[in-house]
Amino acid sequence: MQSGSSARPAEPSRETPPRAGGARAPRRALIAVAMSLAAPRPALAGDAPARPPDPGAAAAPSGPHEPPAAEPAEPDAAGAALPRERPEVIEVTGEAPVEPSTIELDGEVARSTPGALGEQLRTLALLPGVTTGIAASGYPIIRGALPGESRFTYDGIELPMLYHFALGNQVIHPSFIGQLELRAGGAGAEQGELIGGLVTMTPARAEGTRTELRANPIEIGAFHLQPLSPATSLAVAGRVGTLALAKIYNPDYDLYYVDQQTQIVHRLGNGDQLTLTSLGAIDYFGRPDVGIKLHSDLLGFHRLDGRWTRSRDGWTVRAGVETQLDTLRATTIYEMPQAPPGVDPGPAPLTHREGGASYGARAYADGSMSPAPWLRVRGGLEARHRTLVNGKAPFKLSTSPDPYLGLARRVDAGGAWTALDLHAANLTITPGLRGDLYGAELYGATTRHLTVDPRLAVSAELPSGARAELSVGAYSAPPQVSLFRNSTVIGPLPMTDGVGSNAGMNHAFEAEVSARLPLGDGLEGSVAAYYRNTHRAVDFGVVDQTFHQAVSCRDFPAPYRDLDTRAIGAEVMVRRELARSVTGWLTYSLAKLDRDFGFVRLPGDFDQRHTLNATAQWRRGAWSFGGTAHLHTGRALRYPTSDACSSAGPFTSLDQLRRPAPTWRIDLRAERAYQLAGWRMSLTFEVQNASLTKEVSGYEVDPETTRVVEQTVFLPLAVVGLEIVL
Amino acid sequence: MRLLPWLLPVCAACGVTREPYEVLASANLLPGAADIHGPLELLGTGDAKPDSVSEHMFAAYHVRLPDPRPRRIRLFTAASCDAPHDTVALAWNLGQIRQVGAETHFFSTDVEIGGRVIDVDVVTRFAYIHVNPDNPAFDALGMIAVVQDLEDGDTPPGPGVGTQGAGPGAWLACGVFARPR
Repeated sequence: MQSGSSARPAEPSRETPPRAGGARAPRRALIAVAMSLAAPRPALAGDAPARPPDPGAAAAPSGPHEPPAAEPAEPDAAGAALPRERPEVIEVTGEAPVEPSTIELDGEVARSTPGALGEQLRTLALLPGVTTGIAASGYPIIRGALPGESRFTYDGIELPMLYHFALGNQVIHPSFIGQLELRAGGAGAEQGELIGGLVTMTPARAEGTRTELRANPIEIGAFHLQPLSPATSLAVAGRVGTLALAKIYNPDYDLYYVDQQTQIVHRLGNGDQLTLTSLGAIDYFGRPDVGIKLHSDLLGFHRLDGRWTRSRDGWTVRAGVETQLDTLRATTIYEMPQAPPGVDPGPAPLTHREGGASYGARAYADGSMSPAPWLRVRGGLEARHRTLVNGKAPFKLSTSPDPYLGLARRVDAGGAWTALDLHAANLTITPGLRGDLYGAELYGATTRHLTVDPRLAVSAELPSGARAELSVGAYSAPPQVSLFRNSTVIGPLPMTDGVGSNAGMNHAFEAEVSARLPLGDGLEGSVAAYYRNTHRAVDFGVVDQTFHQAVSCRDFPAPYRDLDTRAIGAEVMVRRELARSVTGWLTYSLAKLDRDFGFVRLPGDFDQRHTLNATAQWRRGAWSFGGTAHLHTGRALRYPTSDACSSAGPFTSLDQLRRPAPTWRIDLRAERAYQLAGWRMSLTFEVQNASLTKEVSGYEVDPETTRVVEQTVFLPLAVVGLEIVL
Repeated sequence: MRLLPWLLPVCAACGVTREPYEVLASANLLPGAADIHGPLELLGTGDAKPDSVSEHMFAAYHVRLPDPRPRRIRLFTAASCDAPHDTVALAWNLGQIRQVGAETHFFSTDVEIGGRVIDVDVVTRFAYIHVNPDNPAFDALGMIAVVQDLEDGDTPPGPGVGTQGAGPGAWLACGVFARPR
């Protein structure tokens, strides 16, 4: 919710909400760059992007659709008015990050971060508190929460998947993202069914006409922005890609993906705003196998969100409806013997189908008002329904058919929340309360859970522009699936809504203190410390893990229901603001994660004690160079060992762990921009893992030598990209 | 909280089953040599299209033990609890059960963790037992569940591999598997 009117689509309640401090104060920083006073250079691809107008834009002297105000004259020594040189002005707009623990990244900056390969979501791995399952790619693990337990939204629309083929490009076109925000913990009462981190993407500025074409060896994509009328704008984007490298490996492989995004924003005569957003993505992987004519996997989703927003002085209200379509299917067509000529070919080939599709809808409404200068009242409601049409599960959470990991056939959930922003001097106190009702119909069982979560945030404006915040709260969510496959972990995943919900609800208690302070010379520092205790009804990180029973020489499955995990850590970030020739940030994260089985406490899956990231971009003329360095200490990995009864060879047990040596990695990026008549072009060359580092992902026994050896992941990626902006 | 009643219609149409899982069959244990009673449940798999022959989970949540002493529970191929003890065939040893609060859980025993040997509450137990008359050797509907005291040298949980006879030890409780009513 925002104060004032907004030309940018407002965000529904699942977006990062205003917390302490009430409605976010509009921020419109005009940064004059002295070095380019006389001859403004052409805009480059890496420049600060066009941004959506902030909520206060209508009242601002230079609104997005208005001509710029004349530069004021300043007197010369004799008192005569001389026209002042017009500086290049880079306009950075958006919402002030009231919460010091929220880290916001401009979409263009994130896109051009070395190692991100042009995809903003990969930049998350370089932010404090975030790691990934494998190298620089993969789903973000935020403060140890499994990725399926975190929430990733685009303009308030929750995404059920982030990347094509788990490790490929993101499902949202980069030009569609205006800003990326990470709230690693301490989310407000607006957020329900969430025990992990919150990543929000806001739309890019919807004004003017612009066309972007992108191409690289993997995909082609287009983005087009078009005003349809003075009150209506349209943004469309799409990408089609194929993993050509896989085809080189096996020409019979057929891999492709498609994603599309469309957003129409229409401002009514009374200032109200209507927004229609369509997001969709689909992955297809088909390949033959021995005795199998074709095995194909199909994974995808679509969201259509319609929203009405009204903002007046001091109050805002909005309401919306969203439709949800997910699919996750696997089809196997078996080969049949060829019938001789003239002989009846017999029945059609045997086809085996798994998975299915789900259909859902979500309705939401929220609003805020300020009955007094010291008070802002906020609240909201949401409800959702989903019907899942399943065949046999196409993915195996466990080798054992555990009814507590069963699929759902229907999910109904609703939530209501309220929060107050109480202002007193430099202090803002935000108590909040949230109630959620979650019901699921599974195969053979139904379940229903009511949760009530109180939350409190206290923020303070400190001297010298510093801000600090303390937040504590309770968080509840149904079990949310993350799939572990070798070194990768994937989540969220379409078609997994309701899985395991008959085991109960996950509950977390979290406390966080954070501060943000200007350090001078364009530098800004932020620090955070947190503690989170999570009780999981189902811990998907333990499913199908085993302990070794040394006395009887047998393994037994590790209990994965009703486990507690604890995360404690501290994070530091120093960053240099936009519009400098050298920008970037440095982050350090200290974290300790452990899992309590009741009879033994072991390190968490992503217990990565020390993580250090440094990234910088240097712009000189039409060139831009960047580098990222990443260092992290090893996680506790299962280590094969042997005992008196393991005559058959070594075994691995969940409590036999070893940490590999620290891993480091360097990513590099270079970009050359060309300004041509009426259009511009940029050519980028980027290498992820330019240091050619092998990362240890596990240990295994070499069958020839019977010695324990390291399993490593070696994933250098080089991409040459071309972007044309018309 | 005044808003919560608005949410109730969302789930007004859905009922909640007594258990958060499907029970395919249960052996209602009746006291024998000890006051042990309650259902040993064979749970559904939660699959949309379950295999007719596969592993299944056993739960003893509602079995009532008179004291915290551990017992073992075993499945025998027999039509009734009146069958002579030496005529039944061991189908599956489900292992040890114990009181945990108001419930009864399965335990894995003699687990060595960090140099210590302990027993671990694993809550439930998987066994290759199902409800399928076409596969009578592992069809629960032809079996009985028997609770006995632990013995020295008890074998770990697993299939009976044709072991004939219930062996020594009184039948503290016994129940015949049947589909739930």
